[in-house]
Amino acid sequence: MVSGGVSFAPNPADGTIFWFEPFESLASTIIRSAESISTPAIHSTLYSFAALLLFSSLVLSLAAYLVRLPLRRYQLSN
Amino acid sequence: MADAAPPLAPPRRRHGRRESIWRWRRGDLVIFALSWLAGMGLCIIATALVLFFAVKGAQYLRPDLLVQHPSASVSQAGSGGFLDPIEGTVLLGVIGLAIAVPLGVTTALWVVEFGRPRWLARVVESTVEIIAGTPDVVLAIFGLALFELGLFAPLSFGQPGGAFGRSFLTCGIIVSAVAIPSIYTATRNGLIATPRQLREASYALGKTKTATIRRVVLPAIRRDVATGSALGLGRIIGDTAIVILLLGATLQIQTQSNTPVLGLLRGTGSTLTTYAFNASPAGDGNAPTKAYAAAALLLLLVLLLNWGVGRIGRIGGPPLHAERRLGA
Repeated sequence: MVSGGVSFAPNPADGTIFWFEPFESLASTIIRSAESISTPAIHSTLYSFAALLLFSSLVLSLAAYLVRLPLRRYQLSN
Repeated sequence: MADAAPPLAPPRRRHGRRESIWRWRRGDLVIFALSWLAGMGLCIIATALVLFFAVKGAQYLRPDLLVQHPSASVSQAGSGGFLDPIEGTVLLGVIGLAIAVPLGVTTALWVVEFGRPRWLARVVESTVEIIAGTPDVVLAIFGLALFELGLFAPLSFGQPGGAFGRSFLTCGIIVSAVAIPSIYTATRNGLIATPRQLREASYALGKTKTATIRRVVLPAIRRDVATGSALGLGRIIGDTAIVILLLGATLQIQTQSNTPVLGLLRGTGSTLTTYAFNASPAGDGNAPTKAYAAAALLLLLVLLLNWGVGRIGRIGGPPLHAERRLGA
């Protein structure tokens, strides 16, 4: 919501203005387009976005597990 | 007659002189300053947020908004209050906790008290961590795909031809997943910290493992369960994505049928979060003052929950595992 909610890809080549350009995250795109989810094209696109988000969170969970692994030896993590 | 010996005074703790931070290395000083700034920054952000919404709440939150039904209107004056979102928030919290508390507590009990085979317990722990890390919008879209199936049609709002996958029941089932990790973690930590002697004393009295869990372990960790439940409830009432996708975010509660309870559970509605979202300039409601009022009420609820968590932790003195740490 705060990021602008505009389907626009900020371009780093724009220089300093890049940091002020609006964008839309995958999660907000899914929420904004939820009303049209019954349309086949939007349906598949939104599920692809969700799969990408899920994959990212799985990778992050795995990374957290790998970071904690050496700490378990010293009982610094459970 | 010899004088009675004076009572032994407890040995005094010797505190060493605190090392001046100006003797630290420059790199350590920088890290210390950055840590201090980060902590202060968070305090300032939290205070500013609470103060801002306290001012906005005092400005726009009126008692009549709490008892009026919302309605679609082009003017803010005619858009009513937010009684339905309040009812929706309460109902969703009840359904979510009714599902999450038994699941979270029994899972933690099995992992800590039984946990065999070990690999399966590790898989369960990892699964809970994955659920905790999964974005709520992914859970929501998964729930939508699941409950749109004809098999689950009786659970959701729909027509004879098919199901929409949206209802208080379907939303409550999926939203319980965001509360389970909090409840599981709090219960598990409570179980691990409960003294082993407590269980051994119960076994020595002839109690079985099941009876020990039911009569000794569970009462000992009830505060941890309550804390986890309050934290989980905070996550449920603060969720937006799942409510928009699985509850329909309708302005008023719409029941599926006239059947008293089932019609409501299969109906659609909204919560304070989705009401604030829709009423804000980013939504379609175009009622920013109502959005501020709903957000202030939501923040008040969350603050009350946090206060409640603190109170729960203090009721009846320190918990058993805290006593053990104190050496009592």
